[in-house]
Amino acid sequence: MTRCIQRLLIPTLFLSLWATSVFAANCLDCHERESFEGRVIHAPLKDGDCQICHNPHATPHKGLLLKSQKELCFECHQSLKRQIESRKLSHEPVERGECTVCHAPHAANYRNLLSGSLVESCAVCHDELQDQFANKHAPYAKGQCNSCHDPHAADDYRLLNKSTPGLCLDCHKQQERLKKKHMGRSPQTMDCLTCHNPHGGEQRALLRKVQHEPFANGDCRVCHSGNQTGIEVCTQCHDDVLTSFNHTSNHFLGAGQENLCTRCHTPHASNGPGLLPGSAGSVCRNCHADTFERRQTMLHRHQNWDECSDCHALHGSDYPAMLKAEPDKVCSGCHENHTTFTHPLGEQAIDPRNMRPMNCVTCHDPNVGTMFQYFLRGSGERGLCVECHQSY
Amino acid sequence: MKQIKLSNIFCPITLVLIVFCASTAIASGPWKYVMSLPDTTAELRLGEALSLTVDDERQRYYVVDSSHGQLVSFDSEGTFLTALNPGNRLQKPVSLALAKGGRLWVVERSSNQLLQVNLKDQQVRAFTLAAGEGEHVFPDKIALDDDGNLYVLDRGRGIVVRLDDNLRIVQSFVGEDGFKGFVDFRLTKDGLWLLDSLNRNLVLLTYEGKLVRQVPLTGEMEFPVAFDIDATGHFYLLDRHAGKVLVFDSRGDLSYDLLLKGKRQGRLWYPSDLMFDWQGRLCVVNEGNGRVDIYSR
Repeated sequence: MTRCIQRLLIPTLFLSLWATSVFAANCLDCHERESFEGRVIHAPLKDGDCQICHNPHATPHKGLLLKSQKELCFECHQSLKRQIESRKLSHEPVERGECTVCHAPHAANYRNLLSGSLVESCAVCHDELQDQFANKHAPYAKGQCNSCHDPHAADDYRLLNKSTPGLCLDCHKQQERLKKKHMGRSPQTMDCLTCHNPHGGEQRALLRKVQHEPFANGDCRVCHSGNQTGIEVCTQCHDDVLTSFNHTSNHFLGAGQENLCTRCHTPHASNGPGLLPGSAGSVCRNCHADTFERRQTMLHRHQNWDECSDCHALHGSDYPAMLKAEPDKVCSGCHENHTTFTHPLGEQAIDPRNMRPMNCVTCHDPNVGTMFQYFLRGSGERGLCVECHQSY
Repeated sequence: MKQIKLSNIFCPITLVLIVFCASTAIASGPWKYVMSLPDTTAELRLGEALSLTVDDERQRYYVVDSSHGQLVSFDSEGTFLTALNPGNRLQKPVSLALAKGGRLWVVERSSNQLLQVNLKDQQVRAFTLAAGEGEHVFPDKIALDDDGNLYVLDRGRGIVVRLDDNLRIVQSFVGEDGFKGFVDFRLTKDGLWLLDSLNRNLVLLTYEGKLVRQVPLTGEMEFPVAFDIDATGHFYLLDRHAGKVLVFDSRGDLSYDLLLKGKRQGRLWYPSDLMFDWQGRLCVVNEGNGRVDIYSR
């Protein structure tokens, strides 16, 4: 019996070894060997098993892949798949299933088959990371993006490994010293990122560059006098801002005694005007996560969309969707020439579906985008037009 | 000893079962589009229809048209009656409540004031509300209870307040720790129901402001802005961005959703408010389409 098994097993083993070497050898007859070399080699290639990922004859997928990139990679990298699925948000290339944006599928000179060094890989898309700071946060200076960020998925929209302040306090352990620096407040109760830029800054403390005047002057008692807690803390100086909310739709929504201004604004320091903690988009996402999530699923989307204030009046507006003006005026602010050759708009073109004057957003969805070119709300060849022109 | 016949027990049970099944069938029938206010063929066009109030006694609908600064009334058949702007004082009205004696309360956003309108002589009195010394109140949705007490949603604090006859705050209705601000409320015999939209939570408070229960809403939703409760205790939640109405049972589990996003008759485009009328018909303020759509089953 044992002999019988040996007789069968040994030839089978030889046959399979021969087959894999033949497959690899066959592929490399045409595909230059140098393009598959590096300090790190993907396991299937090392084993000469090209057919784990590729079909040598024909497939519907680019690169003669057996399946879509996402399905193919996750077939082996199951634990990564589970980890990504357990998180709320995915990195955009992961969401699109484009693993090769960051990883070289055959061989690379960097760990985890990254196409470049970690910082090079990130900077391909995140060109804002080229910012030069007088003082840099150590992990940023060393290009260790993954010290704070998870490149695949996280529960935080910044793809942080952990929520703050926990993430920061993992390294900054001298809590008593931090407490002294923050007027006796426990570091555990603060969100470090509202004042500090985690990449770098002009000051040693890496404070964000635009600072509220009392904060910059060290005059904490202007706001922290203890008599007032709500919006009145801000209106004692910024009373004139209140009228900007007196519109049909506004962002006036507090919660109890909380100061509603600080729902969007940071009272200490920020990166840009308006004392917003992050980009306008990141602030808006706190309440309008659904809009950002829907946008992620769309094929055609308006470019440079993250600055919501380009189109929307953030305190209040009398126009639909809190736009700064009538939709046509908002759009023509950038698309100046478009009004000269477009479909009739306004009172001369009434939408028969709801008897309201047409405007740019009748046919386009510049907000979240659509599955159609020019973010049209239907196919520009027919589907969209027959909504109104039924005899077309 | 008197013997109880089985048929004596079964007859009433059968009857109860039949009535129960019939009422359930009626209650769960599909919703059908009835009409729009204004009718698409009418000459009247609304601007931004923001909110709706119904007069159960007189069977009338009152729509707040904010961009045209007017209150528009319709009868039960949807026939346009009047468009009011008393004393030309309405610039950006956002909410309306009907009081006794031919008076209205209107929230005027341009000045953040509460206007009392006397329909008989078209006189308007304006009031600025204050929560305390120097503390602002930013009125949004309003409602009156059977005793004529005025309830106001204060957007500045995301809470509801009850006012006395002198418009002083006599009771505040605040959420538990972690609440993110109420966006809508309904006065019911059980207490005050409030919607904490960002937390996807409905809260029932007594009229003394004590928490009775919370109903976390389960199921996919995008941007809930308003709600109402039907006769069977189901919650109807208006999702502005998704353009649909989500129906939840009394435990907050999603039962089904109805209506679709769009501009055609019966479809919703950025709706802003919903409520049931005196017949239990579902009225949805279809802001983006400039109309109120009414559905029944």
